[in-house]
Amino acid sequence: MKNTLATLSLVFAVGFVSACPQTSSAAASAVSSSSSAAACPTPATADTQRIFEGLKPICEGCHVAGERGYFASLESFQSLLVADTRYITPGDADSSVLVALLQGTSRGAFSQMPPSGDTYASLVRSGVATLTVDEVKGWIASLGTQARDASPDKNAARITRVSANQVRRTLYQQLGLDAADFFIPATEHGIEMAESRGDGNYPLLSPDDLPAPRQGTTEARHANLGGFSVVAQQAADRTPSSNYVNTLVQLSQRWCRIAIDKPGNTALFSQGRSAADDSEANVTATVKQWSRLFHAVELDDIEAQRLFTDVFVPLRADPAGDASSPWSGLCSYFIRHPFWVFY
Amino acid sequence: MMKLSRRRLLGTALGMGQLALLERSGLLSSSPARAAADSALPSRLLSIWIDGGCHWETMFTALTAAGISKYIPGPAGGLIPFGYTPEQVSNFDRTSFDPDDPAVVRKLRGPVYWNWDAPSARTGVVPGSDGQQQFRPYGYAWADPAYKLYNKTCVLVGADQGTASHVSGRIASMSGVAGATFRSPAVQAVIANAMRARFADRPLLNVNLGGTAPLALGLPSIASPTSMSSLSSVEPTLSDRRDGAWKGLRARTASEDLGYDGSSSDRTVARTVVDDAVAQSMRGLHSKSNAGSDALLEQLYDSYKDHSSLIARDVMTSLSQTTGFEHLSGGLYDENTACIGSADSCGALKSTAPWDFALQLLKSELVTSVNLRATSIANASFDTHSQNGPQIHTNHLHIAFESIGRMLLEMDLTPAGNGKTLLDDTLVYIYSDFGRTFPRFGSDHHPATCAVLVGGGVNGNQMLGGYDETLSGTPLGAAVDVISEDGIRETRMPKSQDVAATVMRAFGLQPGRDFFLPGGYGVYDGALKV
Repeated sequence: MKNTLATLSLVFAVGFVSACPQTSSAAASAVSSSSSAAACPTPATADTQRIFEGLKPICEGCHVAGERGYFASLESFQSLLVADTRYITPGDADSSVLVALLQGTSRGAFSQMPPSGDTYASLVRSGVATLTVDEVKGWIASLGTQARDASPDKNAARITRVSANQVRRTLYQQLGLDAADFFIPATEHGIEMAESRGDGNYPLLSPDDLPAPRQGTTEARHANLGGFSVVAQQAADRTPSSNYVNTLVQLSQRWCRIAIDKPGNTALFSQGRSAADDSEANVTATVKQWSRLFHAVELDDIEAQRLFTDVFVPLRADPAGDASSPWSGLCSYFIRHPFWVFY
Repeated sequence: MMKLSRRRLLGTALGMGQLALLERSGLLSSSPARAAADSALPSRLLSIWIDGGCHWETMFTALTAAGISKYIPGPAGGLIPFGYTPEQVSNFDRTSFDPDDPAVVRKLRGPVYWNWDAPSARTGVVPGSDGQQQFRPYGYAWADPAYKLYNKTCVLVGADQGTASHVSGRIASMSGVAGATFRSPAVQAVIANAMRARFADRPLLNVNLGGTAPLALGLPSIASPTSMSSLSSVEPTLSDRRDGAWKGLRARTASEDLGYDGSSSDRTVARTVVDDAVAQSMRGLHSKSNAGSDALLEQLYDSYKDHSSLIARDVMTSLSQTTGFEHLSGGLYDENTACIGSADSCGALKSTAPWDFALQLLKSELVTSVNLRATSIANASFDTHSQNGPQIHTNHLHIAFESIGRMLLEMDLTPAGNGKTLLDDTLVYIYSDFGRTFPRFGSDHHPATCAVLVGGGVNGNQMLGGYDETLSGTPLGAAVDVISEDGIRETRMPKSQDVAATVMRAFGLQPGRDFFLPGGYGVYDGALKV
């Protein structure tokens, strides 16, 4: 799942060069005709700014943020509304949904904007709004073809945190685990349920899964990892929040130990390697294997040595631990590493 | 460092338009918000979500006598009383009032189904009910003259949620702005973040015990909600007690608290060797990517650091050594079972929400904000569309408010230093998804809602707002005085942004400086001491 190597290569190597002029100024009055600017967005004109400012007092209450934040700025207005042919047909006001919405005659999901109460046209008549519908029509009639801004934001994050479902699916695969390690089959009212073998295993399922989790703590763990559930009406949280980290740290340590102690499990120890061999050679070779497994990154000798010296050796020396402890600490390191947490 | 990172993150995640708005709010400030260090103001927030959308008017009456006759059915129901006449409404302090006065500033008042002379009574005819209703004790905690909880309570009435959808309504109550998702941080997160400078030793800023998580959209990761359900639920997230996860991995040593960018400090963090190895690897990634990715990496780095500190604090031991209910007892308060009817449906009052755990959290000094979900007995929520919805709702809501009232009385009996009680040091914010159509018109969703503020910083024994009683059906809220963002007094129908702004203002946060809400907002005039 982790194409981290490719992702990071892209992140680190790609340069962002914009050929488009910074055309957000209201004074800009024309689209560049040069071929190099063919893909550049149409800038907002002074007339567009006049319309923006005229509509803004009525519309910005709802449309200043979120996916429909047309009135967050003049740039937003230009890019999200003026250059969107679903709302505005340049040169043809009567075919433009914006005009229909202002007049209260739209046949879409909303017949008018504002969505309830007086239509915009009525608000103009009562003096609440000052920009007339005819002025909006005149402006649309004067518009030429508008190019939308298709270029990516060079500062946009290029990594995304793994979701709760991805945590489970990925770790099942990478650690050689499956549902039977955490659940036993059960039914409730004829519906298949997943009965936890005990919360000490840190079971993880979404409320939307089938068989469904029978224990609340199983669902809570899913929610703590950012969730998303239709059944629980829970929106996804993909931030690297404290809640996510608090849950992932322990889950990774527990699941690593389960995988290490699982008889016959070759997911973490293949090619004849074994957890019983705590020699430096075996540990550094295993660390390199795990780096490929968890991160899709080829680890150099220096880094492998660092993990042996800084993580494995002190954990091996901890009298409170057992033979699995240093291995589960190392394994958890790879899961807590940002190359795993983000993709 | 933090300032730039958050700015970049917001710029990429939300768009620059929203960033500009948050910039105005000061939410991008690298320093914790400038909460006033006024000891008269609260330093903790307890927010209580009543699940489902409330018939507030069955508990608090912000109507004239004519309005009651117009919108509320007459008394009926016997042992399951609902409906009331103007004569059944009493100020909770039992002072007299003019029931025809349309002024939108009223004392706390509501229909009285309890027996003032014998509050535990469950039999006997409710005065003014024309023999139609039997006594019920629930809700009395708010009017009990021994404690005068009403003197610390202010009800904000008739705020327009801008939605009648459950999820959207909750988000409107929590952030001020209705929507399928948060478009500005929840008030719980804003306040938790604001308090972190003054109370640096509180490791859990924003705890969620149920319901929609109060997201810290754009705020530092430390203000993100931490979800719990009980003391035992803390074990697999905030403690290192479980051997299965921690055997041989518990040892910690103090290491320098380096920033993600490698900047040094004079603080230390108690990290395990795995914590240290991850932190070292992460610092090596600094500035290797673009601004947006770097901001996310920094958030993760800070979350790991917070986690290390939290585990080292051993919060479970602190919590387990803190007692929840310990002071409130005697008379009615020794009875913990509530029933609908004679015994049609019964349950423990303390089962209506994780009250005991919330008290442990608030008393432990570990927490700034606790958000929880409250219901009635048997987990009955308040989305009561059925034919007898208003009747069932009325009884369950009184039981829910009895539970809440007892929680608040326990807080008011708990010393919090400087002569204050825990309730004085806490703003309690009770909200729901929305209001409901008045009982004469069923029990459907309605965007006009109420919010109940109790405790620190609140001017008590008042209800601010009402309903436009010239209208039929279920009207929206009547105009109230609000102090707008630019300091101008306006008289207009209140909205969800005003409630959120009032909650944040109670902590001394300044509208337009310490927070910003999309869509414009004001503070209910007269609600707060600040």
